[in-house]
Amino acid sequence: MPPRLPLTAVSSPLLRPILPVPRRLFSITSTLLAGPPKAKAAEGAKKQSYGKKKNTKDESRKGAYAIGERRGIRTRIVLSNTNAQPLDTPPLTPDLSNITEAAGNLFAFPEEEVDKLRTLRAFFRTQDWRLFARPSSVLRRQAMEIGSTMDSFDPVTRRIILDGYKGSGKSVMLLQLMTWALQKGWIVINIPNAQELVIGHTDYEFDPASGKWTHPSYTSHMLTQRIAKVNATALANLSLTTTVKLGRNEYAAGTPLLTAVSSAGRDFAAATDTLRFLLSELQNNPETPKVLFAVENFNLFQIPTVYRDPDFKIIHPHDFALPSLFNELLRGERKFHNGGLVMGVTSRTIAPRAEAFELFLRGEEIGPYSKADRRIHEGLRGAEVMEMSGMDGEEAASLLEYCRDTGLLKVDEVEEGLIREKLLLSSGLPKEIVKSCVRIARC
Amino acid sequence: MVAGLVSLRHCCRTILGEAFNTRVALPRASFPHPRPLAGARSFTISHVQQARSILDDEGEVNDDWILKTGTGTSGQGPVNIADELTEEDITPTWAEQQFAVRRVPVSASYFTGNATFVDNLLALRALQRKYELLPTIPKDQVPPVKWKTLVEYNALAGKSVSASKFKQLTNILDRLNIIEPTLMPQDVQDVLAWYKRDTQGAVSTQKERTVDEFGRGYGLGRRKTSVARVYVLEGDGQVYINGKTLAEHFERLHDRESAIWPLLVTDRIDKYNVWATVDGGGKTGQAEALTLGVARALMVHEPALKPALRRAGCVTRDHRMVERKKPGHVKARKMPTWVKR
Repeated sequence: MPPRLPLTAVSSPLLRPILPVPRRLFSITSTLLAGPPKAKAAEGAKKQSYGKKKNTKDESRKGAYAIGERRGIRTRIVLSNTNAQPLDTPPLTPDLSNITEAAGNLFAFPEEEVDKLRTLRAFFRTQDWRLFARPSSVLRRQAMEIGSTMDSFDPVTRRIILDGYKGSGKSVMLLQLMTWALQKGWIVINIPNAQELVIGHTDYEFDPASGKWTHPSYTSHMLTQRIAKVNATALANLSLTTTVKLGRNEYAAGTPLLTAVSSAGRDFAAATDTLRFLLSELQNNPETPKVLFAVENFNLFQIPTVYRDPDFKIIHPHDFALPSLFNELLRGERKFHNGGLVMGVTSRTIAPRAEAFELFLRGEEIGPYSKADRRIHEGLRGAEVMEMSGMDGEEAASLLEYCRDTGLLKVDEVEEGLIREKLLLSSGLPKEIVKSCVRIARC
Repeated sequence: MVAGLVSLRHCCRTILGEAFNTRVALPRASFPHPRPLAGARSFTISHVQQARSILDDEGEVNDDWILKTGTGTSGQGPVNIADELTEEDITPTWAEQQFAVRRVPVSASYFTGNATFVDNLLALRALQRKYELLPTIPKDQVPPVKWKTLVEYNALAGKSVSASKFKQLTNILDRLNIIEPTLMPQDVQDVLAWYKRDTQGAVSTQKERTVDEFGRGYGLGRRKTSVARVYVLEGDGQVYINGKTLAEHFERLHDRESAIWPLLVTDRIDKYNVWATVDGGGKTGQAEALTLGVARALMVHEPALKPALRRAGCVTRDHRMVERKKPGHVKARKMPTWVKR
């Protein structure tokens, strides 16, 4: 029997089952203690019966795993490793974005922000955090470039689609930007996996008022568990500019925005309206801080969904409220009052890509005879496409030194030749550089 | 060369004349494994030759009997046997009484089955042993030479020789051929000339490969069903395969290492750029086809790297292909499960 893991590791609080907390032991090996001696059955007590057999299933016997436990293991994100050497890595601070010398160096994510980023589900299992004592990352040139514009006083919203090869560090760069945003007091909204909204794993509903399809429970969960929790301080400081009726309740002008979001968001039926209202408040309220709205696996918003309408026709992804709201922000039709950052990060691990989206990323138009989806192309027009490149020698050197210091790379000195070799073998992709330091068994 | 037999008694009579009419003991000289006989005399081929020359003069021997002796001819001169005969020797044996004429083979290798070949091989071995200590030149500086083919040799030998046996000959010839040309002995030269193919003009010399006008060295590599066409040019360590970077084309680290292995082992990763197209087969086959292609293209730039690349296993084409499926088998070797009727 595999060891039982502490249930606190279950990522989503909604999924966390209410179970007696198992006794925490230092060792996770299951104990083999001799039980109480079995009472010997009295002579003749066991009688052979020829009648119908009773259901002899032992009620007290449980399965190997409790409900939700396996899912907990599967989705658990490990951000530390006790075997790794703990290092005094400098923390990632907001002022670094303006220090040119910081580029190419390694910084650790501060503890508070790590908790918030966990809540935002910004860390992924596929990232190799479990090999290191604490999550740290190399500050890339692209992050510096975006970070330097984050402090501008202009209410400008940068609208970026971030593309790059698998393992090039797109999601880690988003993590760094989110960290900066959280440190600067921005409001951070994140859709951690666009795939969840298109593959039919969550409920959907038609909203006649807006003419869009909605994801009621997903939106509700997103509002209450992610947006309200991570941005509690910022939202509490904002008060409603207008009186609004969300669901059954009416929220008067002057009420803290947090109250409206967390209470109205709990209602599935009112969740999408609440999100729309939240965005409109962020557009109209002059006191609103800057906003970072990010979507991971953005290419999944461009492929046909598996949802069907009453005529059994496939619903276009842009007919859903969440993708279309994000696209409006990406196109610049909606603008945050004090600016911010709207970012769609593509994924190459989750492969399906639409032809129109590929053309858009390459900056090409759809040909007159092409069958590519023009709606996709039009829906993104105006967004800036940024390509995540491979690491340069300096960045690779600090990553390799980190791997050496933490004990992954067993060399004494990170020499020029070693850096060149690793760069060539990994094509500069940071994920591959780490992989080439230690043969990692996937689990 | 035809192995022939000559009547030994006839020969002896010719040599010894009247003395032979007295009872002369003739020891057997043609045992497969010669065993020493007490006080016995052995007859050598020179005796036969001597006898033949005498017979030729008298015209008593038919031309059909003329034989060409092998290269193993002994240099011993004739011996006057009658002087040394003892009383015991001249006692006739049972065999002699049975057969008036006893035929013995010319070559000591007669009972090996292919006397010509064995004679030739022994002669070459002797030659090799004789000149073993002469200085040699490196193999790549030896002028290319083509020996007689197996078919040509068989026609001369009159009997078929297996390819592996013939290889024994050519191996020795190759060894003799690398003797320093200025010190090459005349007898070796003669032997080599005899074994050389008549049409030496057909010897194909390997075309010298050079970098093209753009400074690219080209190499073609194959493995299983994959074909890699590789251009290597001086640069700073960029690799593009089918227009993609190395990590984009090969997901496995091991395949990436295989593809640029020639550059890694020779420590040339930052000296050259690689631009390659590869198609056919699977990823591993493609990676190993690239190994060969990159190595060949690299050798265009630096031919001196060949020994190092050979040690790294980058020079030889791996000729193994998938084993064919056989009828009655599920795959090449797998058999269907036995089913009881």
